[in-house]
Amino acid sequence: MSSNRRDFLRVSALAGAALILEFHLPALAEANSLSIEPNAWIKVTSEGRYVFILDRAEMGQGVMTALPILLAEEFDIDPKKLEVENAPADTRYSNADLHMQITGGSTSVHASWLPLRNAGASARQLFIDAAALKWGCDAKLCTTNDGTVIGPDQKKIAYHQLIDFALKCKVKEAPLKDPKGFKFIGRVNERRENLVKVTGRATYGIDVRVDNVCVAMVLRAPCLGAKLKGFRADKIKSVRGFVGAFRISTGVAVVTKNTWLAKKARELLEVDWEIPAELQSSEGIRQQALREAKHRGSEVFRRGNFLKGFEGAEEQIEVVYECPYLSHSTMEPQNCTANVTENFCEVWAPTQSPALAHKVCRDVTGFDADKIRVNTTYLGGGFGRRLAQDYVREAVEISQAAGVPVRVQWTREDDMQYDLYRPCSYHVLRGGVSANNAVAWSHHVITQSIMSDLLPEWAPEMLMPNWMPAGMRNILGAGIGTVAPALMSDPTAFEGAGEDVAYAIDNISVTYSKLTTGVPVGFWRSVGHSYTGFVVESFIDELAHMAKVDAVEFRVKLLSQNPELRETLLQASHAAGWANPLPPNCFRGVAAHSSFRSHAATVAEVQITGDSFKVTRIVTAIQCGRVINPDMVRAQIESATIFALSAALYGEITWNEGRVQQSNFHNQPVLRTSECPQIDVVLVKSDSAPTGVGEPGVPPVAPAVANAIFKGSGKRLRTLPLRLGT
Amino acid sequence: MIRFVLNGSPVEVKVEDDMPLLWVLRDELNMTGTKFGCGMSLCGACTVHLDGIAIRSCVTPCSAVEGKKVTTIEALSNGDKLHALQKAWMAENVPQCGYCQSGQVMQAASLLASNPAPSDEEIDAAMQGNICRCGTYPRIKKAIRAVVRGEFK
Repeated sequence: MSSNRRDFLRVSALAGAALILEFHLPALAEANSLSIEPNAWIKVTSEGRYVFILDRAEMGQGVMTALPILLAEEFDIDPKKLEVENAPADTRYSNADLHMQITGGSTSVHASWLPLRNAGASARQLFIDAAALKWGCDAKLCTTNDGTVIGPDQKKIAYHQLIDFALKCKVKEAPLKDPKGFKFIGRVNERRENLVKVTGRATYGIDVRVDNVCVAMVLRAPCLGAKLKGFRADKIKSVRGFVGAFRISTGVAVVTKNTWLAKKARELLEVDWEIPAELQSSEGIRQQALREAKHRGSEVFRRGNFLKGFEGAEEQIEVVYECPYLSHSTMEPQNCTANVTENFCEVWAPTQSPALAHKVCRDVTGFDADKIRVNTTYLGGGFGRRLAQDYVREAVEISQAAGVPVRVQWTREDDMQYDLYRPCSYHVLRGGVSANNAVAWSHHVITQSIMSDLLPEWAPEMLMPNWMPAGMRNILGAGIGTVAPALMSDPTAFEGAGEDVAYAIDNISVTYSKLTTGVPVGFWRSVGHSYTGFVVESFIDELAHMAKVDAVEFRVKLLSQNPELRETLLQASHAAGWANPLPPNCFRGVAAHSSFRSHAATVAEVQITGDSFKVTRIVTAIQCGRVINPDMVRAQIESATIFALSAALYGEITWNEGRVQQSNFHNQPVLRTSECPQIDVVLVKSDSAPTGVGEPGVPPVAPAVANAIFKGSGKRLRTLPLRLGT
Repeated sequence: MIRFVLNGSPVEVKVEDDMPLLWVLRDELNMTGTKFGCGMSLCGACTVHLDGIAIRSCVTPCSAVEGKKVTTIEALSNGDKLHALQKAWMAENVPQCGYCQSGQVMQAASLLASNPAPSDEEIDAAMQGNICRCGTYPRIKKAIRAVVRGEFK
C-alpha cells in the first residue's frame, strides 16, 4: 500500500472518529463563531475564512502556490480564497516520500499529489453531506461550485455556512476529479507571495523580531578538528548592550542587542584553541582519492562482463574526472531566533525541516514535545542547506545559556566557511567503443557519504512509526543510526551513475569507494546527480566522439530502455535547432540526465574566442509529469540553469591548513546578470502524476557546456569549474 | 545621535557613528525590508536610496546620512500604489525565494529615475552588482524593459 494512502486513511480515521471542533468562545465580535478542520490541511471558519496549512517550506520553488491548488481543485474553491499558514512540527505533515516532515528531494508536489487531492475531495463531500442534511435531501442531488453547495431547486449555500451541520457528518473518502475537468491545475501561473516579496514585507528567518530579542554571533573553530580550550570576554564589556559570552557546542557565542555590535563584540573575544597536529587540505584529500583509485571499490552495479567487453573493444579510453566541494551560498545567511524559558522552547527558523528542528530543540533542552514550538519562516534560499539544523541548535543553546530570546546571525563569511558542502569527488572511467557504439563502461566513484554523517540524527525521525512516542523513537533510532551507516552504501553518493545510468550499454561495471575527510558535507541541489550528471554526460560524449557519431544520435540509440529521457532529449535538440548552422565561433553541446523521477535534456550554445568562452544560450527540455503551474516550472528550470552555470564556471571550495580558503562573493563568485545566457525551456507534455522540478534542471547544464567547449576547442575539460586556458 | 529623513519622516537614532546604515534600519528601527547578504557591497541586497540614488547600506556608515533623505523598499510604493517596477515584477513572476528582490527593485528604480530609457547594456551594467542565487535575472530584465516600454505606470 502506498504510504500516500496510508497517511490519508490515518488522518481521515482520526477525523471520522472525533471531528476536530474548535468552538471559539466569543470575543465580543465573534459570538457563535464556529470552525472545522476536516483534515490536517484545511480549516474553515463560519466567518468565511478558508485556511490552508502549508506543510512544505517555501524557498522560491513555489510550494506555497502549488500545494494549495491541489487541495482547492478537489475542494472546488478558487485557490485565491485560501489563506495560507505554515504548519507546525507535527507528524501529520510527514512527507510521504521522505518519511518525515521535510522539504527536499524535489518531492513536495509528487508526495502531496494524492494526499492533498484526497483531502480536498473528502472535505468537499463533507460539505455536500452537510447541505443534504440541512435541506433534508439526497446528497446525490447536490453539487458544488467555487465553495458553494448547490442543491435541488437551485438552493445555494456556502461551505462556511454549513459548519454546524458538517460537524454532525462523517469525513469519508470521495472520488477524485477527472483531470479533464481541472480548473486550476495546469492553469494558474501567478505566485501567491509576489506582493510581499516585491514590497519587502516577506518575513525571512533573519527578519523575525520578537520582544526583547538579542543578537548573537558565534566564533567557531578556526580549522577542522580544533578544540575550544577557553576564552576571555573582558574587552567586550565596553560594547553597548553586551549581554554575555557563552560556550556552546560550535564555539563561543557573544550576545548583544544589535547585529553590528555582535560582530564588533566577536572581534574582541580572546579564544584559546587546541589545533590538531595534522590539518586537512585539498591536496591531502586529492591524495586520499588517488590512493582509493588504486583499488576497485565496492560493487554498485554490474551488467554483462565489463572486462571482456572492454578488452574486446575496437577503441578504449581511460580517464579521470574531478569535481570540487561547493558551497550553497543561499542569499540569506544562516540564522535562527530562539526563545528558551524554564519550561518552553520556541524557535523561528528558515528551515527545510520542522521535524528535525523540533528534534534539535528536544535534544538541547530535554523538554517534552508539547513544550516546543517550531515556526517556519520564508527561506531566503534553500538548495539543501536548510536540511541541516545547525543554526537552530546554536540559537537554542545560546538562548538557554543567556536566558534571553536570541537571534543567532551568521555573516557571509561564516556561511561560506561553516557550510555542509556538496562533496568533492574523483572518478575513474573506462570505456570501449566498437562499430560506432559504446560496448563497455566502467565507473569508479570516489567521494564522501552524506548519509554517514546525517543518519544518526535523521534515523529516529525517518525510521520510526509516527505513533511511537518521541522518547522511544530517539532511543531506537539512535541504535539504528549508529549501525546503519556501516551496513548501507549511501545511494546518494553514486545516484545517476549506478543502476540508474540511462544508457543500454551491454557491459557496465560501477564501483564506489568512500572518502573520509572530516569535511562536513550535505545535500546540495541535485545531490549526487550534481557531479554524476557532469561525469556521465561528459564521458558518453567522449565515447560518441570516439565512435564518430553525432552526440545526440549516439545517445538516442542507447536510450532504447528509457523512452522518456529519449523523448526529452529529442525535444530539447529540436527546440535548440541542433542541426542548424551557428554564428562563427559558436558551438553546441548536449546532455541528458534523469533525476528525482523526472527527465531533463540540455543543449548549450557556447561562443569560444581563444582561451575564453561565453555561454550564450541554454535550451532545456523537462519531463516532470503533469505540471501544476507551468510558468513556475519554467522559472525553476531558469533557476536550476543559472545555479548550475554558476557552479560550472566559478564553484570551488578549497581547503588549506584545515580552513576553507573562500569567504565571500569576491573569492567565490556567482553568476551575475550580464553573464546570464538566453534560457529557453520546453515542458514535455505528460499526464503522469507530477514528478520532481526543483533539482532535475541542474545536472545536464555543466556537461552540455563542457561538451560544447570540446566541440569548439578540441579540449576536453574533465574538472570543474570549467577553465579553458590553463 | 544621527538625524536623517527616512521615507519622508524625520528620525533620530542614538547609535555609534560607524554603524552601517543597514543595521540602523534593520536592528534599531526594525525596518527589515532591506536585506543583509554579504556585508561587503558585493551582492546588492542592502540597496537603499540616499537622496534618490542607490547606495549599498551595508558599507555606508550612518554618519554619512546625517541630514539626508533615505528611502527604503518599504516606501518605494506610494501607500497602496505600487511602483511601476513592482507591478512589472509581479506580472513577470520575478521573485522566487525573493530575498534579493528588495535590492533588485531599488537598484532598478534608481536606474530608471536617472535614465528612463536604458539600453540592454545599460541595464546589465546598472544591475550587475545585484546577485540573485535563484536565477531571476532573465525575468528582472524583462520586467525592467516592460516598464521602459511604458507597459506599467
